[in-house]
Amino acid sequence: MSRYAIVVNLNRCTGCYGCMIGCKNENGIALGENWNKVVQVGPTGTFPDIEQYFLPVMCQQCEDAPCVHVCPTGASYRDPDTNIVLVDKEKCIGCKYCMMACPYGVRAWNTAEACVEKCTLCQQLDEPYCVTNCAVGARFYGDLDDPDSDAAKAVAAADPADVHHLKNVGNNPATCYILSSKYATWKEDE
Amino acid sequence: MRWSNAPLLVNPETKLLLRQSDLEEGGDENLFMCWDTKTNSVKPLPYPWDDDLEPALMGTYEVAGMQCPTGLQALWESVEEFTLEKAAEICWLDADKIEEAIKIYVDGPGGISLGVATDQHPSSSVCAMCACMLNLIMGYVGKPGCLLQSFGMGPNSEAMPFRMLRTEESARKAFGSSVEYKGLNLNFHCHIPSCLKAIETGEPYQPHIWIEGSGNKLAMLANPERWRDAARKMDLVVHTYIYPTSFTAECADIFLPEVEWLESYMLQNTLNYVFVRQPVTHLFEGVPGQYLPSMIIKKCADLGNPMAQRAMAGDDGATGDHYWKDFDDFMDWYVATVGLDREGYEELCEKGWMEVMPEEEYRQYEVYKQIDPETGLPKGFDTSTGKVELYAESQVTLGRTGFPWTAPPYSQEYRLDPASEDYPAVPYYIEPDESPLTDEEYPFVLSNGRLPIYHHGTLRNNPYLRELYPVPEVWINPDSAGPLGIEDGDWVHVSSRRATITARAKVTLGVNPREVYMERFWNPEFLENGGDISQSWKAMNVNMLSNGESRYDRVFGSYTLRGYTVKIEKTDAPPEGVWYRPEDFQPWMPQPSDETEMVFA
Repeated sequence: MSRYAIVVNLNRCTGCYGCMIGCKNENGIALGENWNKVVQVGPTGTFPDIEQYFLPVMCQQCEDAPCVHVCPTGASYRDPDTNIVLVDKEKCIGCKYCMMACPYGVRAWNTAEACVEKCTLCQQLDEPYCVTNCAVGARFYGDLDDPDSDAAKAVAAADPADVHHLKNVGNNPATCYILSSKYATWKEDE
Repeated sequence: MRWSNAPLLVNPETKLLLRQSDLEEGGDENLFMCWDTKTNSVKPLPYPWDDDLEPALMGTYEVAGMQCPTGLQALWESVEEFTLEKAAEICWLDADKIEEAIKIYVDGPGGISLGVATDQHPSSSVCAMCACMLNLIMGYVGKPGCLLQSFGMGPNSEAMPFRMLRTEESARKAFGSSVEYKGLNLNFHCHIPSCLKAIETGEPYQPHIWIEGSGNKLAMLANPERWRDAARKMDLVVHTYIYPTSFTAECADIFLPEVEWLESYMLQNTLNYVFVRQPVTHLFEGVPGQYLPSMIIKKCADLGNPMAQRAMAGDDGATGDHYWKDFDDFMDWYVATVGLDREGYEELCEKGWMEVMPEEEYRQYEVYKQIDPETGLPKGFDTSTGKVELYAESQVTLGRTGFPWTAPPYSQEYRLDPASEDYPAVPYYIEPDESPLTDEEYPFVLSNGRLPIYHHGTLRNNPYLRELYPVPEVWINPDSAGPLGIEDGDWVHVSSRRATITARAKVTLGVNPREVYMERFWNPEFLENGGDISQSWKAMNVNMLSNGESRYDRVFGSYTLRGYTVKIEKTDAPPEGVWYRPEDFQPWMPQPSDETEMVFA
């Protein structure tokens, strides 16, 4: 079964917000709502010896997705062909259990349509717009289980010690973040 | 040694380098003197070198009754008191860290580059001089990996090459740059405070008409209130820009809309390529900025203005090329700057870029050593000695005459009157007017910067960007915020000796405890929310605080936009009418409309 996800190379990420804004523009997301949010982690340390990095956070495409488990209607589901976690807005009743269950807060409440939505990996495009729009080539997309995919190649090219995930509480987030300690120390709990 | 003026002797009376003509009747004014340690005497050093000589690099020598230091000796004397420890004390740094940085730098190759921070301060020219001299001392010139290069020049697609249009008469009339701040003549600028004084007082003469091409002068200059009043004194103010700003609303009589970058073509010369920026959208009727001045001049000509008619006819030999009878005429000229006709240009737009010079012709190193076929000598550098200057004689000449920006390839050859004080040929240090070392009432030094979300004064009305950073932040270190009772996200007042504005505190380790940081800002919502329009440039504009009456840089007249002192106090709320919640920006979300006319393709 495929594992489509985004790999973000934080060694390159400059915190330009291009992925965050590009996503909003492409998907017509309302003011105040986000499917991808760039978090500034830091500065941490003791002035002047400080470090920081930028962390774009979107749906982590968990292998064992809590949002799918808790959804009472099946609106939060895995696509049978691509295995991608998506939202069927027609079925969403707006109970927000999925928003409570998501460990990363990446699901957005669409006030206008009174339903939940989130990163779709831009099913309407050949690749997610955030990947196309990244000004520094820090984002990669593809099936992590396909060694020829950009995502898999980005992970393979990195030092294994530099490949990180957001905190795993049994949900196994597929999204990979590459951060070398020469730039900053990965902060697991941020 | 061989390629700088370090070993050449300085004439302490003229403050220029010592020339043979200083020492003997009929001597060569282009022959410079050195102290030959082999013969222990002063000797001329012909260009480029004389292997029979062993010039002293340091020391002061008696020549014709004068004490003449070498160039390097003069430079050394100006900086010797600034040890690592002293510099660390002034700059709030750790001496060991400075040394570590120096060691990385001298390992090389490399270079030191400056940003806008030093430009926006009365130390602007000195900082540039220091960075340059460090690179020159290291020989980081014309080598791979260095910043100072003589790579090939691509085509010039500049629509208004002012260097060909400016006359001696207009240079002498330029406020501030004609005498005191001659560095401004590089880019045909006037001195901002001198312009303001001229409008306010009529001295040296009263300007009457202002055509403004920038976005929001009331947000970008110090003394915005005086500028607002000054604009209202003018007989006519025309604002050309992509949308109305505070300046339009408060100051302009006529507003001419320009197209935005995304709506227009522009040839971008980068390295040995030309890239074409192409329109990706069309919003409303507007004119490309490069073509707009020509439209104004043509209209003036049609209405009978004789100077405009002369310009359109190109009778004075310099201008005709740059005033176009219509947009088609402009495009024909524009594409010809890169050697194309309109059809070739269409093909270029398809591809998006073209190489204008082969890599090997563009990327040449040590160009100064190449032999000039006319002279049989190395090309050298464009200075009086043909060498780089560690003793910047060119600065002295600039202050006294305006040269080199008063000579070819600029349109005419002339000299301006000397500045009231000579520009120094070596660096110096002066503590800022408002110093954080001694200011007790305003204890923080404020620095400015840039953010990825905004560009200069633009984009404060873009809803997706504005919701990311809705109001200016003032960055403050936790050690300083704590005693003031300020927490992350609190509304605060930031005050200088000139004004008070409101911002939101960002408590962060990213700034020195004795420093705060802010970025420029203005509030477009006041142009349409029914509130007081002046709040758009008063409420949260850091330049209300800037010091336009500080000491000015000697060469460029820069005042203090960064590096003045402020105090911070907590407050309850932003000024009424300020938009800061995401939903506040809904009025700016794009709305479909009827199609607007494409005036210019």
